[in-house]
Amino acid sequence: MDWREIIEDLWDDVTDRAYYIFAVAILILFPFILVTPPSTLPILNIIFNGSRIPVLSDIYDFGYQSGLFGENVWIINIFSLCLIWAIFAASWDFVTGYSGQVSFGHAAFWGFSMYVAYWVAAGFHVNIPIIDLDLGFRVELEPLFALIFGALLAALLAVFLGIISLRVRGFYLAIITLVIPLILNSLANTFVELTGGNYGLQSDVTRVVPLPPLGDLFDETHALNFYIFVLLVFFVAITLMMLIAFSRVGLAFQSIREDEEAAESLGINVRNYKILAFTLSAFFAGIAGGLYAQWFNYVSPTYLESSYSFQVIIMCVIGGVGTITGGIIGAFLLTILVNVFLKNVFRGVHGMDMLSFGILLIITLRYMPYGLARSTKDQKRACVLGILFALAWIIIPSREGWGVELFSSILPNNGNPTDPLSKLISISVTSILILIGKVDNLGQMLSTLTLDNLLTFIALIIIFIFSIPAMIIFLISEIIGIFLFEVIMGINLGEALNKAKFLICVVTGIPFAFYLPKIFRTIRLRYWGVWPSVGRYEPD
Amino acid sequence: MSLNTSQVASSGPDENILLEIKNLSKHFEGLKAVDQVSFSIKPAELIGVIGPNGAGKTTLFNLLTGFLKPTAGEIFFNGKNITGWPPFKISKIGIARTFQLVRPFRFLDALENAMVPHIPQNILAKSSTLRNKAIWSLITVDLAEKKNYPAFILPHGDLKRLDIARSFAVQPRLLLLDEPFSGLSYEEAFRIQRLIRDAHEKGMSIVIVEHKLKILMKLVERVLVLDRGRLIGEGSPKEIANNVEVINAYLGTEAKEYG
Ligand SMILES: Nc1ncnc2c1ncn2[C@@H]1O[C@H](COP(=O)(O)OP(=O)(O)OP(=O)(O)O)[C@@H](O)[C@H]1O
Ligand SMILES: [Mg+2]
Repeated sequence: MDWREIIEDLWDDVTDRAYYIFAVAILILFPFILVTPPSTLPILNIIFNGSRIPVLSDIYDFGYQSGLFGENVWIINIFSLCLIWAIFAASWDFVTGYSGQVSFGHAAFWGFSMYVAYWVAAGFHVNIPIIDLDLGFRVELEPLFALIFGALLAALLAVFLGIISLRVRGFYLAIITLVIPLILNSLANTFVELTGGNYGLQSDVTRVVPLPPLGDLFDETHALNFYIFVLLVFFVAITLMMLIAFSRVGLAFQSIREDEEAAESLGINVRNYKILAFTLSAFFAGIAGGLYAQWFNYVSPTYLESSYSFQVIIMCVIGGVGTITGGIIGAFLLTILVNVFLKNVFRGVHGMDMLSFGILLIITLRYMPYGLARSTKDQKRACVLGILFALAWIIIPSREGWGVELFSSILPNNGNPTDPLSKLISISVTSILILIGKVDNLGQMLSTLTLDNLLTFIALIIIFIFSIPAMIIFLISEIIGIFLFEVIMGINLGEALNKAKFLICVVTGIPFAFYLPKIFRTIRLRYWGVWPSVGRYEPD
Repeated sequence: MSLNTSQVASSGPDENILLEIKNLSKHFEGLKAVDQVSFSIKPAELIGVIGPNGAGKTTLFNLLTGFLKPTAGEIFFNGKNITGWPPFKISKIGIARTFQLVRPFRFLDALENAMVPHIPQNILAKSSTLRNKAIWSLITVDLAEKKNYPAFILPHGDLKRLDIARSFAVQPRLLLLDEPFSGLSYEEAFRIQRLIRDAHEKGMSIVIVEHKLKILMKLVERVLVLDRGRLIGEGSPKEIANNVEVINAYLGTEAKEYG
């Protein structure tokens, strides 16, 4: 098999699945590694025989030292937030991506569920001042049940609204759904006794996992507990949604999306299926809402605003509509973008999140209109490589003597380069030599390999194969970064420097990784004709 | 034969009549798209409906399948009054249709397209049964080897057959085909004729709207002629080809060819 075919096959379905598995592993392992010193985790201890976990702990070290991650607990909280948004985005995708009923007001369901969950958990004491009716009973449920109860009532609301509004289609439906959260919002502002009005409601009672008040959210164990809980809910919710979406019910939804009348003529009860899709979607949106309220320990009418509805749509569109995983990818991307980068880099600048969402949306719609999850092989490869470049760019200079220890025996100049750049060059040259089989002492090098550094070694190989473009990006992004922030905007990056660099590097790296093979091919064809060892002409 | 039919019809519901239409009308704000049409269809009959553009043929199909509510008149299927029923319910009691333009589920593959009509028949069926049934429907229209192709890359001829496969999957007693030969080559049209003949031999009643009279007149047993919403002629292809009113309205001088 041609080696280029092998590389191209790296991005097939199987690899996609491998990415998913990798992502799940990171979701489960990463926060624990951040909080606990790796060697004290019992399972990992057994696997890695008491030593440091090579790649993960290194990444953590570098992230921490270079200021990429900031405080550990903070990143766990970000992960929790990502998961909550992912459930919300997937629920929107379920109704719009799968059954084709455009909803511009999904915030209605999550906001409604927040209030219900709060009332139920707080012991809803019916006392409506206008009627002066004190029914005198309290419904008290565990917060977990409150969460589910809130979601159930949101689903009920969706049944009701679905019966009313799903007669109309497309544009008109979009308008109706747009109005629903606005109505709820004004209701919430009107019945102040129930909802706390503009100030909202705040209490500990809604929390499933007992958390201290907001100020102590940075407590490690509490954050971790909440994260585990959210992770469990996330897996259950996503699994349910996937099961439904891939089942025959999901197929019926899709047929309605494709052609309502054709589906109806084949015996599909279009109206009921639409209401079902709306209801299920509202249920999961309600779950997300309940979790979100618990995360902030706070319910207010702001959560009913249309910016929440649009945010979730943008996430799905960027990730890929009609895939469910697309919503999850989009949710992680945007939440991390906002909370890790923008809030640090543009501290105190308002509206940066919506601005960057807009820019991202335009770029996505121009270059991958079906979203990240459905992008072409080239684009996926470019995304992965771009991020790898950026990571390599931050990690490698930030720690002295890292790869060098590993390669000292085979490096051309005996492994003592001092500055990161020359280190990078020598290491990449060596690894390319290894790859094309030109190294005599490969056996010697392999004998130094242990399980301890094997993973590190593999990661290094992957990074260093592409280290030459990485170096070019290194310089480009440094120049762009300095120019953009320090010269044009006059912002002193300070601590946030590494995060900003990472961001710029991703932004410049992805297009570069995408166009590099094409540029290379063009140059090759123009100056050398057909590459001798390849012997195959591909018009492109 | 036709005498016999009218006698039975007057004596109430009977097994000899599958579909009966009484004075069916549909008006679009003054335009009489279907005007006082009455006829009946027997089980296992193969009928053609012809008429100039805008005669109301598609509108008639839409009325029969519940996509439009009639302005006046009644529709009986198997002795049951189905006037005003929603389309999915009409599909369930055994009337299937295709559309004038192909309407596949474009982003689903051929197999999934064929699975959709099987879903409502038995929502709790095993998924292997569902798949097998769908594959079987594709085999009957020679599309099995393209089962994993998304519909949007299939050529027009395949889509026409896919539409027919889906409507067969409803297991209808009455099948309404709206211009099944339009835009097809001679070979493709012949494949579809064979499908229609096979289904007819198994006892399905089929109504075909078609402008390609050369094919239609040889295929069907009885022809209905619509013009400006009214039923202006009914009879065997031979009778229709000699009917003066029909010749004036639609067939013109070509009429002799079909005689
Ligand atoms: N939904 C509608 N609203 C208003 N007028 C309609 C509607 N549907 C059909 N018509 C009109 O009713 C008349 C009959 O249309 P129909 O589509 O039934 O004709 P047809 O016999 O199928 O013609 P063709 O052979 O071109 O398919 C036409 O004049 C058409 O413009
Ligand atoms: Mg028509």
